[in-house]
Amino acid sequence: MTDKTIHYKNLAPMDSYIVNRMTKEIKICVLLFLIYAFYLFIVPILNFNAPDLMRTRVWGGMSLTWFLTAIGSMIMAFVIAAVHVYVYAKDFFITEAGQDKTSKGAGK
Amino acid sequence: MIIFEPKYFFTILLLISIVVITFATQKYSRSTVNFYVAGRSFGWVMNGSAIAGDYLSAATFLGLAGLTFAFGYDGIFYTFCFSAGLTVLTLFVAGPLRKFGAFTVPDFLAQRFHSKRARMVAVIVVLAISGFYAAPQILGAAAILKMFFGATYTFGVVFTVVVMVFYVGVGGMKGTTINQALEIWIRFGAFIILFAIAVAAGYNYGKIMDLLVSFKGTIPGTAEAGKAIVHNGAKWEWTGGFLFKEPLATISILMGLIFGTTGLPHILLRFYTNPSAKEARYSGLFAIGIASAFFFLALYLGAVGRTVFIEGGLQPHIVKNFATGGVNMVIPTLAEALGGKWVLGIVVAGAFAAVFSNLSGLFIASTGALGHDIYSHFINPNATEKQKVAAARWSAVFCGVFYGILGLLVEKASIGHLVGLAFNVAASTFAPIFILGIWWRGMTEKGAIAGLLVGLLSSLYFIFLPQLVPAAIRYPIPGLFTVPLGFLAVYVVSKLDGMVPADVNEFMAKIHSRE
Repeated sequence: MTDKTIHYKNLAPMDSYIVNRMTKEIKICVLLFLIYAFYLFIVPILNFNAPDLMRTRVWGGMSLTWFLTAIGSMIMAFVIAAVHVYVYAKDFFITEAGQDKTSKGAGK
Repeated sequence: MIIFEPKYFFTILLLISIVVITFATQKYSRSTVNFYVAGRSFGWVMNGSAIAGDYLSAATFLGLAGLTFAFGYDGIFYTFCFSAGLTVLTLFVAGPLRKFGAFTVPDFLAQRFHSKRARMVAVIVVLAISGFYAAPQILGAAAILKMFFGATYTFGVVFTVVVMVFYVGVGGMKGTTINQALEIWIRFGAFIILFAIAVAAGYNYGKIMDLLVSFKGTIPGTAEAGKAIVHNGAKWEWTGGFLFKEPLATISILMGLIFGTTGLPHILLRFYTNPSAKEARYSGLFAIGIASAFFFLALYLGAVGRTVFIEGGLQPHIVKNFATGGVNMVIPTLAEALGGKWVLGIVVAGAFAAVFSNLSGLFIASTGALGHDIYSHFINPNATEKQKVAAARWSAVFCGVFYGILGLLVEKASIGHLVGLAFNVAASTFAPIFILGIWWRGMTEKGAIAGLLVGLLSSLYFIFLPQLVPAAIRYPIPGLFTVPLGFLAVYVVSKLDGMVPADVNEFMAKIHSRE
């Protein structure tokens, strides 16, 4: 580690392996976040722009907005995080297995 | 004997378990790596439980059900915003943060930029967020002691602070984590029991909503209890216009609470205690699972509380507690109304567990900021291991006094709303720093400091000087303005400055490479 600073324009490019990993991960994170954000923001937007729809009784006497807010959102939070962890774990192990395979091949 | 009164019995049982765990883990808090991050030894079940314990504070156990009870749909929308935060944190921050590996949140800035200034500013922000967050937790504990044990509010504050100083000062992160993991299951158990009793009593959503939506008028018995409460069924079906007056105000709350979790120091800190990034991600997922179930139960119980209140036929002291306990005491009052004194005892212990669990996380984060970031880096850089641990313990005492004073100042406030403000400060300060610091190598030291200061000062301006804010944009949570301001300050100042650490590529490789 060093205390020196350098201008961003003069910074050496990052290792391509790290760039690939970062690109891959940020893409999936942003995609999942956008899906999640769509859900989160569409509920209040519909509340104010389509109140009759959101007052529709759906289940157990709940209005649609109550259901989406009190139950749907909890399921959504878990599903989005679970997909992210699953994708990360899958990618992690594939990469590891691939590298192991390569190193065995090199040994031969 | 008074000790066999259920509320005393379960509370004393909880205190005994805290004392036993704290002393049993004392030997693991004699080095800094053990005191602050428990030797990075916790798997995802333990750490996920502790994260949920940190996150699901008195604001959740008492406050969110209370907001639902008081404001109907507007209350559940508040919870909706809270429920989103952990997911965003898990997506963008959890894994890389663990790979970075450090002791405290200011460590991230200090090591990212090799900057003492950045560390100092980060410490101030940690203390500001923790103060905002700790005060309502202490309020929750003191209010329970006042309402159900007859103690004065001041005694409640002092009692809570003394327990916390012991808990964190002696047990360190190891004892704190095990206590938090135990406590989340205590209050989860309390919620499950109350939920089961309510369902068995026939309170399904159909029955609840029918009554809540159709009833209009003064709730029976409240005028006699000294505070006539009028119920308006319309606000139980759709927004009642109390918290969510218009779309932009609603989106402002959403932004403050979603990004707030990503900036909470005591939650970020927890990811340092996992042995790997993979475990950190699983910890986040497990915590989201617990939190989602918990939020669902809190909302249901808030609605049941209102239904029971409206139905009438309650004992006068229960009506009085519902009417005057405000938004914070619905869950214990409902427990007494539906399950009698034994269920009340379990719920009171659960409420204390919520307060202790969350407060201990805040204590650990602030203790680290003072003992590790200030003492070990500014006051005595050559301190021995023993001196560093002693500084951590004294920092716990200092935090106790600081939080205690804040707790005394907020007696009449709403727990849920105060915590919302803490989230807003976190969302406007650390959230931009961590998200951009992890994913953008162009962030500079000056950009980070500017982001922290702009986020903090703009939040404080909107919160404490609302009279100077135009009425049209005077929102309960000002995230719509302060969060983008924080991000923008980091980006603009970094672009203008342009001077990044020469080793930023190594840093990025460290936090993004395969383990």
